[in-house]
Amino acid sequence: MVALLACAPLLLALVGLAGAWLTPVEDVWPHLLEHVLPRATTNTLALMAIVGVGCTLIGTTCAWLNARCDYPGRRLFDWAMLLPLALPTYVVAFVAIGLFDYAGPIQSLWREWSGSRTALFTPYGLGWAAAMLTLCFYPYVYLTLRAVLLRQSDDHVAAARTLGLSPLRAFWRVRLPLLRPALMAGLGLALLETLAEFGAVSLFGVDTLTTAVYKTWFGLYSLPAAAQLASVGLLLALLLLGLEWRARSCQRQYGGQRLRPVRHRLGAGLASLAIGGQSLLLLVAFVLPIIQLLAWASTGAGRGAADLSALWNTVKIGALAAVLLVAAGLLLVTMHRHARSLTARGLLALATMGYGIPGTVLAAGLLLGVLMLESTLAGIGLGRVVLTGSIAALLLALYVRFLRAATEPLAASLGQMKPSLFCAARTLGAGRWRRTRQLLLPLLRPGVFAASLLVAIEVMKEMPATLMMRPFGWDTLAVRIYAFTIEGMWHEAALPSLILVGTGLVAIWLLVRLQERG
Amino acid sequence: MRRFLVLAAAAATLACSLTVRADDTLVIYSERREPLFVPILDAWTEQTGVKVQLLTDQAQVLTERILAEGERGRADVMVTVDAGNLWHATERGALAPIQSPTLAAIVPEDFRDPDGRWYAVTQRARVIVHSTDRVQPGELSTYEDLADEKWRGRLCLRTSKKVYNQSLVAVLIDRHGEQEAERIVRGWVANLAAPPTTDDNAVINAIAAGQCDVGIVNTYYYGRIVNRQGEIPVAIFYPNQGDGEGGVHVNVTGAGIAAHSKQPELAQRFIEWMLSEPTQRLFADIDFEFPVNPDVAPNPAVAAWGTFRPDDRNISSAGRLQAAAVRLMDRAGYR
Repeated sequence: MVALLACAPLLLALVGLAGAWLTPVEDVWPHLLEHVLPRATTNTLALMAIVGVGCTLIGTTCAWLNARCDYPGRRLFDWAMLLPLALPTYVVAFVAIGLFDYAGPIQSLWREWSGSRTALFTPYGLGWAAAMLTLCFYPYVYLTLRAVLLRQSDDHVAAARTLGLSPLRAFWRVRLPLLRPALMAGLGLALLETLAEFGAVSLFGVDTLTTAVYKTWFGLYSLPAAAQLASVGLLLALLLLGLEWRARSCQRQYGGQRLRPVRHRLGAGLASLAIGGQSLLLLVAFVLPIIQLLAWASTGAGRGAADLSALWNTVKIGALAAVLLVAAGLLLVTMHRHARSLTARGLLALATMGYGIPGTVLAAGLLLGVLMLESTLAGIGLGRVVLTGSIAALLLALYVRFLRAATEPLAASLGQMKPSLFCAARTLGAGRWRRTRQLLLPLLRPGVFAASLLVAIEVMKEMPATLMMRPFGWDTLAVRIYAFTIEGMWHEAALPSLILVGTGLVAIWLLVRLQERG
Repeated sequence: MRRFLVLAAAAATLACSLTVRADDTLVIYSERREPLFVPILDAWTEQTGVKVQLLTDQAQVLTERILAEGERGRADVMVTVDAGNLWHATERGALAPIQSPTLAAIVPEDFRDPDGRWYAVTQRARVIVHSTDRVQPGELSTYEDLADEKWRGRLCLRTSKKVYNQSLVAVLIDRHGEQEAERIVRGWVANLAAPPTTDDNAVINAIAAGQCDVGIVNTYYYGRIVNRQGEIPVAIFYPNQGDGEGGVHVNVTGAGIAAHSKQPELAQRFIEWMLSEPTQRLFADIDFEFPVNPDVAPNPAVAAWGTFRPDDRNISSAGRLQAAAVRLMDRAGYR
C-alpha cells in the first residue's frame, strides 16, 4: 500500500504521458525511425559507455587513494575531489565551449603565437560531451565507494591472501565483488544522469534520445510522439536498473568491526603521481571553469539577475526537498528491507526510476497528470484543489525526479548494519518503535546527512522541472542562468552560476564535515 | 502646462481605477526571455497600476498548459517568439480571436494571424553576416547562394534545433518547394567550416576570429556583441533584395489572448498597449529588435545597419511548414 503510494507521483506522470499513446502519430514515426532514432540511440549508448568507464576509473582510483592510502596532501584531496559536484553540467558545458572554442582565449593565443589559422580542436561532439560529463559525474562513484572503503574491513582479502591468492587475484576475486554494490550504486546514478542529460549534450551538439524527445515536441510539434519516444529512454533506464539489481542481489555484507583497514603509505613516485593526477583533474574539472566564470562575471554583466530572492528560493527549495525526500527515502528503504513480496519490492524500485527520465518530459507528464486529477476532482464536486503553480507541485516533481539520490546513500548505510543487531535488541525486549528510535536512526545518521545534502545539491542545480512546475514569478538561480544560456549570453550567466556553485560548495563542505564526524 | 499634465495624470488614474479593479492582475504565459520582457511589464504596471504575473517556459509547454487547464486556467495573454510557435498555438486552439480596430490599424497584415488570433509585437531579421576582411559585400546575394561551392569550408551556421533556422528553411520550402529547398540545405551542410554552433553569438565570434567567412544570424545578436566589444571585423548583409528573391527573412515575437481568459478586455488592452508608440520605442531600445508599429523608427544603432525589404509573404506561412522543415534538415544531415 505504502509502496503504491510512493510510486503514485511517478505513475501520475506516466498517466499524463500515457494519453499520448492513445493519439495516433504514425506520420512522425517513419521519419524518426529512419533519420533520428538510430543515431540518437547509438549516441546515447556510446555516451553512457564512455561516461560509465570514465567514472569507474576516476572514481575508484581516487576513492582508493584517499580512503586506503596515505600521501602528503591526502586530507586536502579527500574532500577536494568532491568539488566538481557543485558545478551543474550545463555550466561546465558552456564554460568549456567558451574556453576551448576557436574564438576562445586558448585557441586565440595559439593563433597569435603560431600565426596559423587552422583550428587546434573543435569542442563539439560526442567525445567532448562524454569527457565533460565524466568530470561532472565521477563524484557519485567516488562518494559511494569512499564511504564503503572507509569502513570495509580487510578481513576477507587477508583471508584470501593467506589461502595463497596473489595480490592481483585477491583484488579481482575478493575485493572487487565486495565493492560491487557500492560501485553499482554510484555508477547507476552517473549513468541515469547521463541518460536524462539535456543541457550539456545539446550545447555540445550531440543528438541523444533526450534531445530527440525535445526536438519531436518542440520542432515537430508532436507531444504524443515525444512521449512515446521518451518511453524508449524509460526502457533503457529500466534495463539499467535491472542490471544493477542483478549485480547487487544475493549480496549482504556488513562492516567488519574487528580490524580497522590499514592505510598504505605511498612511495615518493606513486605519491607524486597521485598528487599530480588529482591536481590535474581538479584543474580541468573545477579550477578552470571557476576562473572562466570569474572572468566573465567581472565584466559586470548579469548583475541584475543575481539578487537575493533567487538565492533564497534556491536554498529554500533545496532544503525543503531534502527534508521531504529523505523522510520518504527513509520510509522506503526500511520497508524495502522488510518487504517480502516481489511486487512490493518492484514497486519500491520503480518509485526511484524518475532519476533516468529527462526533467522536461517528467514535468510535462506530471503537469498534465495533475491537471487531469484536478479537473476530475472538481468534476466529482470535491471543491477546488489547485496544485499547479504551487510549491507543492514543484516538490512533487522533484520527488519523482530525485528520490533515488536520497534512497541510494540510505540503502548503502542500511546495508552495512547486521540484522543480528536488531535481533539482539528484540531479544532484550525492545519494541519496534524503540528499536527504530534508539538503534536504527542513530546508526543511519551518516546516511541521512549524505542523502540530504546530495538531494539538496541536485535540486538546487535542477532546471527544466523547476522551470515548468514553479509558482508564478518564482525564480531560482538555475532558472535565471537558463534565461541567459538559452540565448548564449554567457557573460550574463556567469554571476548567477558562480553564486549557485558557491551555494553547492557550502553544502559539500557540510557533507564532508559531517562525514568526518560520523 | 504643468497643471494640465497633473490633471491628465489624475484623469488617467481615475479612468484606470474605474475600468480595472485594484486587485486585478494580468497573467501572462511567455516564451520571451525574461530579461528582455520584465522591463516592459514593469512599465505597464507603472502606467496602468495593473499588476502582472509572469510564467516563462517553452511555447509548446505553455500551449499544452493552456489547453489542459481549460476553463480553470488563469492565463490571459500568451507571448512567444517565432511564427511557428504562434501558428502551432492557434492550430491547437490555445488562442482566442481579437476584434481590434486599433491593432488592425497598427499591425501590417503580414505580421498577424489572418483570423486575428495573434499579432506581432517586435520583428527580428535573420540576415547574412560576413567577414569584412575576407568577403566583399558584392560577393554575397541570397541565402540560397550560400549553398554555392564558392563558400566551401567558409560557412558557419547555428544548430538546426533552433527555431529561427527552422522557420528560415520553412520559408525556403514555401518559396522553392521541398526538393529544391533540400538541395540548398545540403549545399549549406557541405559548405560548413565547423560543426553547427549552439547560438548565433558563436557564429559571429567564429567569423571575427577567422574560423569562417560567412554565416546566418539574427541582427540583435550582432548588436549585442558590437555593443559590448566595440567594432568587430564582421558586417551585416541584407540578402534576397533583388527582384523575385523574396526579401529578408523576418520572424516575430507575437502575442494573443489565451483561449479561456476571464478578462479578455484587459488582455486586449495590454496587447494594444504593447503596440502603442511609446512601448514600441521601449521594445526597440531594449534589444536591437525592429518595431512592428510602422510609426516607430528602430534604435539608431539598428538604423545604422541600413534598410531592407522584408519577405513579402505572411509570416504564418513559415509556421505551417516548420515541421516539414525540421524533417528536411534531419534528412539533409543538418544537425
